[in-house]
Amino acid sequence: MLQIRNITLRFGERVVLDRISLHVQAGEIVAVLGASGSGKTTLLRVIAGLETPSAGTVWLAGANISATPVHRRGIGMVFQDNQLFPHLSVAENVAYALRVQGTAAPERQRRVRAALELVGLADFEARAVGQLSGGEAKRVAVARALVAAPQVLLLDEPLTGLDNALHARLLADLSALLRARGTTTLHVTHNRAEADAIADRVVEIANLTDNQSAPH
Amino acid sequence: MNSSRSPYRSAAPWLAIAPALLLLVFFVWPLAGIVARGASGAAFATLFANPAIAPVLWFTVWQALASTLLTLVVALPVTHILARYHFAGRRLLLALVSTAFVLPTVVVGAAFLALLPPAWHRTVWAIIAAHVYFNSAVVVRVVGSRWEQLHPHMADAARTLGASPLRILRTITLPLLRSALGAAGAVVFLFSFTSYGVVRVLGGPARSTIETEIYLRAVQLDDLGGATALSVLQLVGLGLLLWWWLRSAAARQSPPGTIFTQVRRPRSAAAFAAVYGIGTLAAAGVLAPLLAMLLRSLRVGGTLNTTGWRAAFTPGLQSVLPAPFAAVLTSLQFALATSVCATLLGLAAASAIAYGSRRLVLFEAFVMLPLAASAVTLGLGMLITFDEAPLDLRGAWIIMPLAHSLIALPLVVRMLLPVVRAVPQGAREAAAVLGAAPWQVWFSIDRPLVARAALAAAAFAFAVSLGEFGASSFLTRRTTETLPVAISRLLARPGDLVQAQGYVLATLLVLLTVSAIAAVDGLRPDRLAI
Repeated sequence: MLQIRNITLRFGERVVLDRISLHVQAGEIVAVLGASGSGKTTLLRVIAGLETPSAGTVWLAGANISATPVHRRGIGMVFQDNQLFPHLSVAENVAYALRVQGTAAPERQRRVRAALELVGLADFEARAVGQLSGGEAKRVAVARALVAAPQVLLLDEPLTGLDNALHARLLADLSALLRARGTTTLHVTHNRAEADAIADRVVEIANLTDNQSAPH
Repeated sequence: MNSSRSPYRSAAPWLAIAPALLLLVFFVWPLAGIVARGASGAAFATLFANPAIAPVLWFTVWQALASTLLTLVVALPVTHILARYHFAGRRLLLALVSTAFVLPTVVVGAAFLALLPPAWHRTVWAIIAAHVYFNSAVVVRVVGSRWEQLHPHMADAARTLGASPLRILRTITLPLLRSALGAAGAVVFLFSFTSYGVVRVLGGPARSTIETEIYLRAVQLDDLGGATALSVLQLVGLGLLLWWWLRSAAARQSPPGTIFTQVRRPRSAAAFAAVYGIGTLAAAGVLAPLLAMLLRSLRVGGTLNTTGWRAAFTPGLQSVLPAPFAAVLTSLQFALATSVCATLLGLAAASAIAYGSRRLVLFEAFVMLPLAASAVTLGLGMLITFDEAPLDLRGAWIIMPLAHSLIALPLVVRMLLPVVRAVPQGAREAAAVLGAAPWQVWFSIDRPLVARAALAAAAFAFAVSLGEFGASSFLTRRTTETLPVAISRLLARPGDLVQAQGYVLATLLVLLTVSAIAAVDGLRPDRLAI
């Protein structure tokens, strides 16, 4: 489903990603483990199209999307700090992608309601995002990313900064949700237990360097 | 800070006396004179019966609206790159844009007169272009500081949800900037609405705003009734604008959930091209009018030469004029007197507010009053009030620095008050316990901490006085012409040589103003580690 081939990214002299390759099957949940500063977030940003790699390609469902602009990739992403739009309500945040696609209002409302129910926030439609707790904001960010049914979902340390009880509950909910929907997911984290709990397969970012393609 | 144990508390009311007296005699009294003359049914009936007035009112409003909209459109791309990107020359660009804002309005008028082709002179487009020029800094500062707080990942989130760059601008960025855009727009509107120097230099007789019409009626048409009635109208209009602005500013709240963020380097080729393209254009836009002005000062008789400069510096070469360079010395004297007067009174006022009881909060509002009246209204008020007993100041040298001090006073107090308040009360108490009398405490503790800010305020008042044109144009005498007055008079006359001398003085005024503002910047209290 998602293939990353030989991605290299340099910021000036610094090599942030060095010949990274990874293959995620349709419906598979893969967790990428790595210490902070190892390039996990940057890898997700390259896949989403938010960073342009110095070399390498990204493939989605057999097509090379390396030159496709971000907004046409059909890849969803949950940011580490959510990045909810503070001037929009919970429902308007979740509806954003559907509005962009021009989905008709009744259909949009139905899908927003369904997405919010899915993350356990059925009564939160009219809330201002500034009033949400950390866990609620995270659920809204997940609903917002899922509502447009992206082909691949990228999760950037989605459970960092939550207290232990909330972390465990959200982890269970998120895992069940992704499995039920069969969403192809790439989840990056520095937390080994979290990776083991949610993923079908756990890889270390340090082991993703494609040595066979190293220049001789 | 404002504790009841302050050793200066008993001194506070005494400190308030001198600034309060200045305001009462030289601000409240002249304004009362205008209201007494102009705020009557008969005065308004006569005013509105004049068919020339309605077009003036309409022109004042629509040129201000057009200037505001165009300033926002022109300044937003520059604001974007300054708020979002780190690039070579960023600080220089910010300094250039800010410089355009502190230039005297007469200089901006002169610069656009030099830059624009003659077909554009005396047109509304020249006026609007000049307004855009000096008001862009307001947008860059006000909107830029908000834009810097929007996390760039917010736009990234919208992109991953399928939004195109234009759509992100429309649905995310602009709505989040709305309150800042409103605040900046209101300030730009206010400045354009009360614009005087630019309109006097660029508008000509056919283009009159309320401000220039007041001057025209009072000084040239000898219609004091019309001038005072217009001033009352202007006071009411300004009062309403300020009231509306303060009310809506209170209602505006920044959306929650925003994060302070760092600017980043342009990474993609498109971002790189946009940043350097916009930056270069903006820098050229700021510099071009000033360079055109310098060139015009060097162009007499169709060639580049120093005739204009020599004429400006040689007394008596032009028999029709007093030596233009005399205006430089006059302006410097007034600016020096203003900076001493405004700084001492401003320090007294700020200390009274900081040390005094809560009842002095009314005094704080009182000190800010000159902000609510235009300099033209103040000049007219002083002109009609001090031309007869008991206080006949016609031809008195002191009237000009007094007017300039009144205009600078609120700004000086605003600069000094936070610094005076920030002096640690504990240090004063420690000094007192060690045996220092209140005056010794002030001298050993407060004075060293406030001195730098007071110097910065003095330099600022100096710059305000140098560029002041509204009040000066009413109070000027041919023997004591200030730089802006001389520039406006020279540029209104025909002839290469006369005009070149106007541009010489404008160039000198730029140099003096920029030096004063650079001193303010260098003396900023935040550069001092307390």
